Amino acid sequence: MSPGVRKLALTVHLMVSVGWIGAVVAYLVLAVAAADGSDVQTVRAAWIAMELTGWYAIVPLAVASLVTGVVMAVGTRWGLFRHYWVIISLVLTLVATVVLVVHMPDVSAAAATARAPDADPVALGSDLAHPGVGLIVLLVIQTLNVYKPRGMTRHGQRMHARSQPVVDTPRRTDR
Amino acid sequence: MDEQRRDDPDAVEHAMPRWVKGFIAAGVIVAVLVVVVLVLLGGDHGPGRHELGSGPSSVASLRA
Repeated sequence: MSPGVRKLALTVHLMVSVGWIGAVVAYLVLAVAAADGSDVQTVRAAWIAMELTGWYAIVPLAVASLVTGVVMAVGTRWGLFRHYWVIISLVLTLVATVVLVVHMPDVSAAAATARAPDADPVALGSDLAHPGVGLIVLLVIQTLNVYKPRGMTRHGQRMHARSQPVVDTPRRTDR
Repeated sequence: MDEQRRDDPDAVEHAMPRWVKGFIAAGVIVAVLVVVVLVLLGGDHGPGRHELGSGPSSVASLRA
């Protein structure tokens, strides 16, 4: 990966990753409004907005963050399986994305109930756990990516040893 | 110097660092907790399930 392409990929990765965190914060605010339940119209609006925010902001940003993260790892010397922090970031991002995609149909079902005029949306309860835990996971990933704590895997050590130039013993010269 | 080593992809550390072991231990604990919660809730933990047990359709039926 050329320096220009690497910088572009890093820029996109940072934008979508930080955007993902911001979108989850917005979702969490809506989830708190839905959990409050003091005003039925607010609860209805919150669930509908949670569905829209989830499908059209959080899911695309999550997938983009996962894809650009893999591209960044594969396209640079950090590698995908050479460093523990990269592997942990990848696993956490994968888990967060899968849980998100599996969870969103439930949010859609709740939003459909909130739209129904004869249903009581206050009885839908809350959805604080998913965005709350998700936000913590995303902050952990972000911290790992900034600090890049030391630690090379066995695979990384093998790759590193292979890439090292072989040092010749100095030859005797007759000078 | 630490800063320089942190940003160097080629800095070699042979043993598994303590922070990785801590992460793995925390991950196992969280995974066990999640499984326990899912078992206690019967695997039905989406929005609207906590209070009513069967989701949006039961909400509508409450009003009927």
